[in-house]
Amino acid sequence: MAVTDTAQTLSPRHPVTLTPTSLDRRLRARRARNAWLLLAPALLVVLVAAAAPLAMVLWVSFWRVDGLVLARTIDTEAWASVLSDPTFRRLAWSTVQTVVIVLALVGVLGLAAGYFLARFVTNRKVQALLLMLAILPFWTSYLIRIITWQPLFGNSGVINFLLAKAGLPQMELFLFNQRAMVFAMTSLYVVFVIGPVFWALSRIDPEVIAASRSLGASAWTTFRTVELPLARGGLVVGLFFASIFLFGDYATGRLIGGGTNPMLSDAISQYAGSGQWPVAAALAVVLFGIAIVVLALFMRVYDLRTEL
Amino acid sequence: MTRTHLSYSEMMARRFAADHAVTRRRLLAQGAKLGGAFAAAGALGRWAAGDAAAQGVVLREIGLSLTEDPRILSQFQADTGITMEGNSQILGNQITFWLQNYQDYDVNQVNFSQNAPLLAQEAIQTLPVADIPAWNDQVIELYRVPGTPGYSERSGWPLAGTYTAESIEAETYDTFIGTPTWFGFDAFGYLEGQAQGDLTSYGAIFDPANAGRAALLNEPITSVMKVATFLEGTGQAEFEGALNNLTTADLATCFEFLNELKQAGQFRLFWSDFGQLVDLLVAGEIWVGDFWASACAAAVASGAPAVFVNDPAEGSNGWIQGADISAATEHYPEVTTFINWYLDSGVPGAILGVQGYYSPRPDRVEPILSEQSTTVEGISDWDYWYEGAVPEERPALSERINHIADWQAYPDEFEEYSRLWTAFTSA
Repeated sequence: MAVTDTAQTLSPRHPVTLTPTSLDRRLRARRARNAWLLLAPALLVVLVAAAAPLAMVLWVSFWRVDGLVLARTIDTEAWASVLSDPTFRRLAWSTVQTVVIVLALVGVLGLAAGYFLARFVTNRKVQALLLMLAILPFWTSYLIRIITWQPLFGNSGVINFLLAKAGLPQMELFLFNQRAMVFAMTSLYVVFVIGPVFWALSRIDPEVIAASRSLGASAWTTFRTVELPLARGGLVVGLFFASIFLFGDYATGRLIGGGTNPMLSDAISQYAGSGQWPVAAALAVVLFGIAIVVLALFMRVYDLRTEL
Repeated sequence: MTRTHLSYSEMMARRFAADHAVTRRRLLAQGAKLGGAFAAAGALGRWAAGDAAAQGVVLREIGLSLTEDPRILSQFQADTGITMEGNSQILGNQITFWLQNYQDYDVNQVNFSQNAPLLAQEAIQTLPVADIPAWNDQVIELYRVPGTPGYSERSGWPLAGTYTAESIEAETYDTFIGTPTWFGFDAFGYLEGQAQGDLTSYGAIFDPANAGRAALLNEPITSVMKVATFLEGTGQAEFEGALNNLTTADLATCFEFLNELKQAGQFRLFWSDFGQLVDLLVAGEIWVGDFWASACAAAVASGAPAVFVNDPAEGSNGWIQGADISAATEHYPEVTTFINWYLDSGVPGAILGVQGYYSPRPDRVEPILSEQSTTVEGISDWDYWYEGAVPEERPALSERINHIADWQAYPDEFEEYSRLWTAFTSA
C-alpha cells in the first residue's frame, strides 16, 4: 500500500489530474512494462533455445514413419509403441535407477570431500589447490577422461597388472557392465557437488559451530543438525548440475558400460541416428518428464529460489 | 617362403613417397595437356576436364573420414580446379545429418544400405548413368550384369542397391540411385592366440569357448545380417527373406539365438566406432567379433595380433560405398565431374586400395598400385591387394567375389530390426 499512501500525500497538490487510482495505475503499468523489458532478452533466449525446440520435439513425437518416409502428421503410433513396449519401460526404469544411484553416490562422496576441504584443510592456499586438483580433469575433453578408464581398469590395465604382480586373481569389475558405468559416472560428476558443498560449508559462521559444540553436541550431531541443513543449498545445487549431465550422458554407457545397459539417452541417440525420429522424440519427452520429476523432488528438499 | 611385412613406420614412409610420386606424375601429365600435347598425356590426362566455367566452384560433401581424406580432395582440386569441402561423419550419424542438412550439401558419400530411406525422403536425386562416362564397360561386371559371381539372386544386390527399380525392371540399368565408388566385404576378426574354436566360421563369435570375450557392432542392420549368415550358412535355420532383408519370423529366429547367448554371458560388449574397436583390440579386451578389416589392420599396426577373416565359411557380407547426389544441389555438372573423377582418376581407388577396399574400376587403380610396394617387401600393392599374391592373407578380388553371402541393405522391416535390437542390448 506504499504506492497508494504516497499518492494520497501527493493528491492534494494535484487534485484533478492525479487521483490516487490513476497514479497507482500508471506506476504499476510502468513497473510492469519495465519488468517485461528487463525480462525480454532472457525470455527470448528461453523461447528460442528451449521452448521452441521442446515444442518441436513434442511435435515430432506425433509424426509417423510411413515405410521409408517420415510423415509429418499427428499420429500416436510412436507413443503407442513407446508406452506399450516393455523394452522402453525397462530402459526408463534402468535410467531412473542409474540416475538415483549415481546421484546418491555423488552426493555422499561430494559431501565428504567438500567437508574435508572446508573443515580439515585450514590453509587457504592448500584448499584452493585441492579444489583446483578436483576440477583439473574437467579441463581435458570428456572422451579423454573416459578413455583413460581402460588403461586403468582394463585387462592389461594398471590395476590388473598390480594384482597379477601380487599373485592375486585379475578382476573385471570395472569395465563393460552397469557397475562400471555407475562408477565412471560417479567419478565424472562428483566434482559438481564438491565445489558448491565446500562453498556452502565455508559460509557457515564458525561461531555457530562453536556454539553447537560448546553446548555439548558431538561433531557428528553438529554436522547432522547444524552444518548439513545449512549446506543443503550447496548439495542440492551440485546434484542439480550433476543430474543435468547425467540424464543426457550416453557415451559413458557405450564406452564404459559396453553398450550392455543402455539408458534412455542411448536409445534416443540410436533411434534418431537411424531416422526413426518419432520414437526418438517420444523417448526424449519421457526422459524430459523424468528429469522434471527428479528436479522437482530436489526443489522439495530445498527451494533453490531462496538461495537467489 | 618367408615374407617381410613392412613395419608401420616404413609402410607410412613408403605410402607418403608413393602419394607424392602419384601427384608428380599427374602434374606432368596435366602440364603436357595444358601444352596442347593431349596425346602425350595419354590416359592420365582424361580426367582433367579443363572446363573453365567449373573452375572456382566450391562443392560440399559428407562422408566417412576414409572418403574425406585430404589427399583425395586436394588431388581432385589440383586436377579439375573445382573445390570439394569434405565433412567427416561417423556412420551412425549420416542419415540424420543428411536429412537435416542436404540443402547445404552436394554429395553424400554413404553406405548404400542407407540409400532406400534417403531416396524415399527425396533427399537425394537419381541420375542417368550416361552422366558418368567412367561408368562404362571397364566397370567390374559385378555392378553391370545380373547373375555374375557376387550377384545375389535372392536380394538382387548389388544391382538393386545401385540402380533404380524402374531401370532394373526394364533391364536398361541406365539410372543410378547413387554411383558406387568403392566397396568391400565385411566378415569378422579375432585376436590370434586368444580366440578359440573354428576361426574360419562366424561361429567363433558365438562359440562358448569365447564366452565373455565376444563383441558385436551396436547396430542392427549389419550385426543381424551376420547372425543370419551364420545360422543359414551352417544349416541351423532357413530364412524366408534374403539375408539382408529378413522377415519378422526370420528376425524372431535370429533374436532367439542372440538373446540366449547374451543371457549365457557370451558378449562382453557392443562396440560403436572404429577408434574404440582398435583400442579394445590393442588392450586385448575382446577376442572375437564382427571387426572391420581396417580396424584389424590398425590394431596390427599398434602391435595387436588381430586377424581379419576375409572369407568365412558362411560367406562375407558385401557393402557398397558410393556418391549420392543431393536433391538440392545447384552444381549438378560439377558434381558429376567429381564422381567421374573419383572412378576415373584412380587416385581415391589407390588410397583406399592399400587400406583394403576396392574400386569398381580396378583398371584405373592398377597403373598406380603396380608402381608402388608399401605393404609387403618385394610385392607390388596391386599384386598384394587385388591379385592375391599372398592368398592366405589376402585372396584375389576375383576369388573373394565368389564368397559373398549377400550385400548390406536397408531392410523392409527395419523398425522391427531396431526394436528387437534395443530389447536385446538392454536385456
